[in-house]
Amino acid sequence: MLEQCRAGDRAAQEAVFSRLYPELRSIAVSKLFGAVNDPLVTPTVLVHEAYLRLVAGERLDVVSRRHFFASAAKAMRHILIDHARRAAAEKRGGRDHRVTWTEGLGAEFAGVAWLDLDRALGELAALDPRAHHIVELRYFAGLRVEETAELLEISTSTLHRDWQRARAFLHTRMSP
Amino acid sequence: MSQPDPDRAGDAAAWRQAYAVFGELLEMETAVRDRHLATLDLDPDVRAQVSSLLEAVVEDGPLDHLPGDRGAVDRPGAGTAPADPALDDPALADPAPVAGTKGAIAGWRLGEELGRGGMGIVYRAFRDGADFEQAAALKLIRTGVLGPGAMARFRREQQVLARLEHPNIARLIDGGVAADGNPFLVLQVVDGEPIDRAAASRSATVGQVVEWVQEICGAVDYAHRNLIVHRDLKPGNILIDQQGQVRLLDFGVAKLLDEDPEAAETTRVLTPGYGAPEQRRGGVVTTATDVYGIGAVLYRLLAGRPPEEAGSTPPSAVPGARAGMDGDLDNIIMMALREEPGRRYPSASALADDLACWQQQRPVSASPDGLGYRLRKLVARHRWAVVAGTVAALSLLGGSGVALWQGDVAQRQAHRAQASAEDARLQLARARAVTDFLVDTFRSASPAANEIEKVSAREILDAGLASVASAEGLAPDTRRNLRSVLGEIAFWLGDLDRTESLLAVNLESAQSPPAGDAEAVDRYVRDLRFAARSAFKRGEQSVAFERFEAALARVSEASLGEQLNVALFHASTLLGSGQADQAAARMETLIADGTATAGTVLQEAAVHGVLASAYEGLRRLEEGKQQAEKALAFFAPDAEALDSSGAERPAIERALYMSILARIEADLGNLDRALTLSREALATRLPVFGAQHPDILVARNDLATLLKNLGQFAESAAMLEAVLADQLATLGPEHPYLAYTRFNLGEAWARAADRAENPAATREKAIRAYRLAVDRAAVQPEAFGNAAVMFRGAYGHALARAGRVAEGEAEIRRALASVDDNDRTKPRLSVLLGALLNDRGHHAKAGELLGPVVASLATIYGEGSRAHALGRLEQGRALAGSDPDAARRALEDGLGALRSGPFKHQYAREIAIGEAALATVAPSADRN
Repeated sequence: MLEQCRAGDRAAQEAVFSRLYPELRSIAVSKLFGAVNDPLVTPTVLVHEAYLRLVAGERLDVVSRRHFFASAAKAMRHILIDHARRAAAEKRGGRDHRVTWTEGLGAEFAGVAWLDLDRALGELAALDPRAHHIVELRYFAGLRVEETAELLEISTSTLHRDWQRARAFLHTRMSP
Repeated sequence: MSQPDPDRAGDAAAWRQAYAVFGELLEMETAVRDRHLATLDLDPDVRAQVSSLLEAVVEDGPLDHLPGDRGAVDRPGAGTAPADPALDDPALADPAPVAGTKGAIAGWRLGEELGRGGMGIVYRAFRDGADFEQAAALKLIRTGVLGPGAMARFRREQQVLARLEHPNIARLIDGGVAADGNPFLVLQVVDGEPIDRAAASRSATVGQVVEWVQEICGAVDYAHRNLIVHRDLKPGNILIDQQGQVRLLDFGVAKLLDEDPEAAETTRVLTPGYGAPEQRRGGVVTTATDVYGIGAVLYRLLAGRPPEEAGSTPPSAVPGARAGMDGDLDNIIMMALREEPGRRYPSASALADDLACWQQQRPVSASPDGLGYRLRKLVARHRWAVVAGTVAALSLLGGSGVALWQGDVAQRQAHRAQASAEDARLQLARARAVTDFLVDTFRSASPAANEIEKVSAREILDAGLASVASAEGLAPDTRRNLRSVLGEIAFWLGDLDRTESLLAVNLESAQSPPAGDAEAVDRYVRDLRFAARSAFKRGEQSVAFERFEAALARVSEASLGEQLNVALFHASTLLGSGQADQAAARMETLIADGTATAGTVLQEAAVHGVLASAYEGLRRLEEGKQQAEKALAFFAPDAEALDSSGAERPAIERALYMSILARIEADLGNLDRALTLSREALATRLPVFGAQHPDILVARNDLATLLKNLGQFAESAAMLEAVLADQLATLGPEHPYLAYTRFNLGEAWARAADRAENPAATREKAIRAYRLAVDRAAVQPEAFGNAAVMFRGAYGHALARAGRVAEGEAEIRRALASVDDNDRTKPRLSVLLGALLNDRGHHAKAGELLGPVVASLATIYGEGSRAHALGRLEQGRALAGSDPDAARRALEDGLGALRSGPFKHQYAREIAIGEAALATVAPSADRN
């Protein structure tokens, strides 16, 4: 299936996503949102675990990996945001949309205003799709700079510039 | 807070502009930015936005704390082993001596410098405890290595690392951030020497080296279970202490020092010769990276040099084999050093296990690439897909869903029963067993089944055939097993020629296995079973039953599972050859003597499924329904878990039994229930098999037939058109199934015509569909049997109804002329002729014709049957003018049967015609 993605087959990419999403979700729910938090289990770890499981050692070319990680980042973003949204709903406060996690997730997650981030990312996607893509890959799939640059077939300096722009924009849009 | 909301169009435009300006400014030197911004003519809002963006560049923000990190995958140079003065690449920037830190850090008193490297300096350090002085190695991380965002992570992970407690792992004692902001780590000091030097100084034997490496494996495995990857295993990080114990240093330290997104470019320092291929590529680091590292260390210890000097190609064997080394150990090392992480040992403990095998001179699992590799890889990764693909490959030959009339029902049911019974017969369980077998045979290296990719079973088959053909020196028994398994896969794929050739070789070479060899007997019986079934499908019935006889002669020595499978296959074949009674008897015996319950739950369900099909063929519909429901009960939500390995499997088997039940319900006249069941069954199977799979085409055809029976003619026709298109695409234009579908389509359009907006055009569609069916059958009448004449009869009937009476009559007469007098279809064709004569007003002729016809219909199909009812109805019409009383009785008979039966929707038109005729002869009924 990943190989089909190579041909740029959008449908196949969506298929990857739809296979990946439930998989990641189920791991995420048990490992990230479960009663016992292992601080070592981060969304990134999960994405890579999923990668290893799904790819099973196959060496994928850059296009296939791009599809995988793009899908995985998107899936992880959905999972985290969805969780935040549900947590928000449970708060019953209703008006407070700025949900900040302080429990249920490791320290790394506390303090992130997920719904704000999601909204700001949506805005960024409209302004600067590539930067948005970079943020997703870096932030939700945990790819390193080089990996991200390699996947997107851009130089690291371009990536740094994009990242800088995106970062500033998101911070601005998320700050109170 | 007062910021413009980009949701509003104007603000979105403002942000767009601000973002663009901001992007340009970023390209400039900081000093120039403000000046340039001042010169720009900007809307105040935009200007404010640009300023806030510029400010955000330097502020710490939420994105600086990534929700997760995988760590530095390529920082093996990070850790300078405290006791290993070997330094990292000296070309790297010398870490600036950290001013003001010398002396003490967070309670640790610094001693002499032990080493320095790319990441910092290592000092001997002491902590004054209440009772003792603890010596340790303190690693001071170079300022700037960690970005501000990574600091929190550093603290957290360092705590995790501190939890690693293993006798073979040097502990991380402390760590944190010094007063001046520099992070530091404190590690247990190990008195010992690097393993390569220890091996040399102690003249270690191969056996000693392997023992050490096993200890390494144990420590690494422990860390892996704690989700920590070392990622920099090399002799310098592995010490042999004074007690001769292995001690691993710097666990996970490389990851701890992971880069920050805002930090400077990564310095990719790999320890030459030891970095795994994925590290050199900048790929993902996993536990397999450490497996490579262990392999590399072992290689180094045995070969005297690391496996890979920079730039060289991967090694293919350990050179300069030392005394005590052999091919197995070589294979073990090569497996650990495989280029693709997924093809190495799945874990450090698996590597240790194989080393233990080597120590005990047992066979090791590592083997050179080649034989079985592709198979193993495919199967291990596509366990589920193999199952699905195998199922998908099942071709359902029967049940083409031809809605011929009742006379053919028994034959049709038998035909279908053959197919569905086989379905029911654990196609999936078998496929899974095949898969398991393959996996076992080739000892899969990859336990994680890949669920995302699907590889067709045919690919696996081809790969397997290729490896059987090319494998040299394969044990005869392995070869037989392989042929056996491949033969089965070929069978499920419908590649019967291959099944035959593969299994025939086995059956010839292994004449009759000795009585004591249970495994050989099992295989022998299984081969016979598949060979028999395959022969049957190829039309060699006598060969098939000979083989079954041979299988049955030995089956009592086979495993219980195999016994049940033979019984199920045999019964399916009996069903397919028209011996539904014997098939039923076999299944009844299995149930009566308790054998059915002794197998797996799925086998037990299959016994009931086959029996349901057999009863269906025997027209014992109520009993069939009971059995189908019994089969389905195993799949009820509250039933005990069928199989934990895959929900899809039971779902699909359940769907098979549902479709059997649907057909029985349809025949019982419970059309609504049948429709519900059919739809659900189809919905379950469709995503697995795909719309064009033969099974699915049959199911869609059946569903269309049901719709027709429910009077939903246009819907039925639309569905059949789609089926036809898919059949054309998958089967080609010449396939006989197309003729059946066209016939069904003709039926649907012919009946839809009465209600269509444009009846004439719809009748033409019907005529065209029938015509194509007739023409196809005429080319190869022996392949169609009775169906061919029924096609022609229906065609003539449709022509007549469309006003082309003479043509129609000619066709019907031609059909009649082509069948024997004692053919079951003859009276039905005669009814069509009678109807035509009635339509033309030739009632006397019709009456004359129909008298004996109705009598034989009653004999063949029974009074009250659909065929008989239709005959009575036409007879009534014929007699209306001459004998009103006889006519009324005939019409009331026919109408009564049609109205109360499951066909009342389908025969709405005949019922209307009959009612009109009845009105002319039954005024007395009104008076009553």
